[in-house]
Amino acid sequence: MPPLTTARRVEATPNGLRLHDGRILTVLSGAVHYWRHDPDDWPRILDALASLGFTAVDTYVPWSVHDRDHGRADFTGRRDVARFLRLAADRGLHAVVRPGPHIGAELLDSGIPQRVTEDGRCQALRCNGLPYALPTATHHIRVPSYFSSAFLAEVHSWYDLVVPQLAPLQHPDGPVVAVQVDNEHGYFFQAHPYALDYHPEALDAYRAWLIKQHGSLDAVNALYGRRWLKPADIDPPRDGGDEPEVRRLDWLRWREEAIRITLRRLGDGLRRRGLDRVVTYHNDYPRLDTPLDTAALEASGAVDVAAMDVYATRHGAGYVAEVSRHVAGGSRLPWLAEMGAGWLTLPWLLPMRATPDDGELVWLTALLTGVRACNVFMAVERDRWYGSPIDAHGNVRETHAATLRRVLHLVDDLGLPAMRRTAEVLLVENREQSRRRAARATLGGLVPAFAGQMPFDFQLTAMPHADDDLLHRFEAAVRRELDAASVDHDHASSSALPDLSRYRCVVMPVLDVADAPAWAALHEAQRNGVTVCIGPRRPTIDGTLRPRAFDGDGMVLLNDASDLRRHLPAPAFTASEGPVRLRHWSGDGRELLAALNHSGEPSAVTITARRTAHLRPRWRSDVAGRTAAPSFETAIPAWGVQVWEVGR
Amino acid sequence: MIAPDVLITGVEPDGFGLICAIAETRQRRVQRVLSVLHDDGAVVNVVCSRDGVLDAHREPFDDAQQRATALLAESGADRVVLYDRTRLDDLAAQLAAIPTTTRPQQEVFWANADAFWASPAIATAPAPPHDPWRAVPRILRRAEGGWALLALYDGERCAATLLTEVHQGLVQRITSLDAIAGATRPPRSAVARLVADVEAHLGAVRIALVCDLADLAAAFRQDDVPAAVIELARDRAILSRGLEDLP
Repeated sequence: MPPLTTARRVEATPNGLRLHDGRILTVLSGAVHYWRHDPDDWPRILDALASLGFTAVDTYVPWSVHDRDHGRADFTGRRDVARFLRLAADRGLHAVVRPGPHIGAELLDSGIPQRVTEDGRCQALRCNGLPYALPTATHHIRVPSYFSSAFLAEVHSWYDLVVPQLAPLQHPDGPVVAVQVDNEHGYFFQAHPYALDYHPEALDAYRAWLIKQHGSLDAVNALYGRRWLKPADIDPPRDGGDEPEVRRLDWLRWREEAIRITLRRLGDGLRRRGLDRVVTYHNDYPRLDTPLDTAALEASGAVDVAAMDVYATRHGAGYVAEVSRHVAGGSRLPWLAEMGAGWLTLPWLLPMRATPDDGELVWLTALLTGVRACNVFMAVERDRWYGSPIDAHGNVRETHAATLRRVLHLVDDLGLPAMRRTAEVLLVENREQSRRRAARATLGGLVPAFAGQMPFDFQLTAMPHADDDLLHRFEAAVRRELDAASVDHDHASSSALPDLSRYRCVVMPVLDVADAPAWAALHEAQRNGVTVCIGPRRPTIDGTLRPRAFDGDGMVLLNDASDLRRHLPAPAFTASEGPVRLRHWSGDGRELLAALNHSGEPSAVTITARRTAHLRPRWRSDVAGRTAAPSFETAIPAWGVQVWEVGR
Repeated sequence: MIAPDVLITGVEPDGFGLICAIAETRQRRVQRVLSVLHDDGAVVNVVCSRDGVLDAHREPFDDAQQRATALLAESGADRVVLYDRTRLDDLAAQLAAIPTTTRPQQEVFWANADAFWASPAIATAPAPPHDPWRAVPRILRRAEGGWALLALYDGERCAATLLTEVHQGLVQRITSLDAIAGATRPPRSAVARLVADVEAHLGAVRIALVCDLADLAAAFRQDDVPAAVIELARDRAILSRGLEDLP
């Protein structure tokens, strides 16, 4: 096997992917599943994709679809992924490829051959030693353990087959500009800390990591109050009642680290086999706290970009904004690697109906809140998916495509990738505090993957604590203050803070615990002129729960979140009280203002400019432009968005 | 009910969306279920499906079934479920033993529910619920070897069609009239053409329900949807086949 190379011709930048000739590619891709279509339809499908304004095609390359038993694979006919990608290149489309091993994609086996998931050596285990059943689209699988050497050997044999198909098609020789390293890996949608993974080899890795973290087995024993004689004696916690608490917190840290180890291994496996000239990325389901940690994943170097997925109707647009703020705050290229268009046709996640109107609000919310690369999933309809802008034969379905085409053209027309969103405040998730909450969970041996699998109230797994409510109320109050002041913000976790000099104000909720390196970064930022606000209390213990003196000189202690208002920067525009939220962009000598109404009622709003501005409508014709000098009244329709170009 | 390798293509985006919207109204109906986690009678957590964590109802008890019955009366909940954490390992083992790769997914879900309600770790009041959807396989058997047709009318307009092919008791394929070359959704006045078109292009229609959109929505608001749909087929359908005589 050739050595790892670090030479890359495609690089992730804040504005897109830098190609070998220095051009920046804005990744606006549409998902197509080539194997689900007649190859005779491929040209028409790709033509339709290009006609809508997409710059790239995105496709899975599913292991189980190509697998023909150990060491053999079928890449012919409708499985001829290389031909499909060459056809894309012929049309000027770049390509993003996703070879798994986990896929999902409404496949009955989630893309992993059944002979692998049924092999007991490969299966992840619950805290009680039982395998974990995950409902797929129409079936169940026993989810694999990514620390099982048997599973990893199978994965590598798949990589041996698939990489030779894809590597010759890397940019600039072919259209491939990015490769996904596994799909939505985060414990297969299971956030419960004691559900997975207790596979013997996973536990061996945990024990080795734990000893390395604390320096020696003796140090672990001292911290935990144990007398373990050898590493194999180390017993992982299996419930929120297991003491001491620091043992559980370490387990949660391990679960976060295990994701990074896994993805680094998989990414190395792809690179070593020749997929080494394109950007690697991973995308996970939209969870902002443990065990997921996109910014830390990216900072670890396991992948070049840590992306996220969102599927939402208009009712979920507020959460889409939160996810967008998170990737905007923590990623070198804020990327939504799956952004829904249409919906799956299967009953266990039904009923759900996503219309083009839902798409308009969700897509614009994401793009106007800092997302700079996105993949529309599914751009082309296929088995088990409906409501896409392009039908299964490549016909543009105008009723569903018109809005998407306008959105893609708007991004291009406005030059959004070359501009910057005004987000001068960073709201930090105190990861240590979040872990303390999560570590109290119980019922890890029973908790199912999804509601509907059995009659079970998921709320029972989270053991309540008075601190939870206090922290929740403080965070909610901070968000209300930001909204009331029309101050847009980014989001990040304390485990991997971005460059804090980008912000004028940083806010981190604290009850009692803080991460020492994160605190040092906050303190440094404060010394460099950033306003750092914490509250409602000062931290007194570190991540090992040992008492620690945190130097908070110069930091603002918010006993009450309403005190935040006077520390916030003055925005260029403010909106009167109500559901309308503003986004402001500038750069390249231009300014944009957007207003988003995430409510089901039309909203009259007064927009006030800090200095006189002339607003020219760029999205809706029924929401007029005006001169804001100093303010003007307008109305944003229910679930509506308006974008104005700002003249001074 | 649904074959693992079911093929679902060519559903009408707007029509299927309408059907989803009708079904979605059920998903939004949340019963008030009081769930109590205890360790052999010592309560460790109480949650309500609507109100979240509760500080109430935390008194220790000796008999879980009696406690469930008493809580049902005192809490006003629609259902009370008590989970004995000290006995849940046995339930977890039973759930893990249910074969998941040799049975259709819905059957696995039902087997999970059966194991859950039968577990000594679980006490509930009132008695474990009857799941009316378990009647669906019996209805689908009427379509064996052929097609089931659902069509919804909004006034004169045929707003949605859904075609389901059934073999060996399982749904093997789902599509719609729009996916059939040459077929179009007929107006209400030509409703008979619906069945004729499907039979001409795909095969025998064994069961059919053609009704007003509003009537199907009303049926989905009932507790027992399959029974309500059969009643609709019998009493108010524009056209029905193979459903009217179902009990």
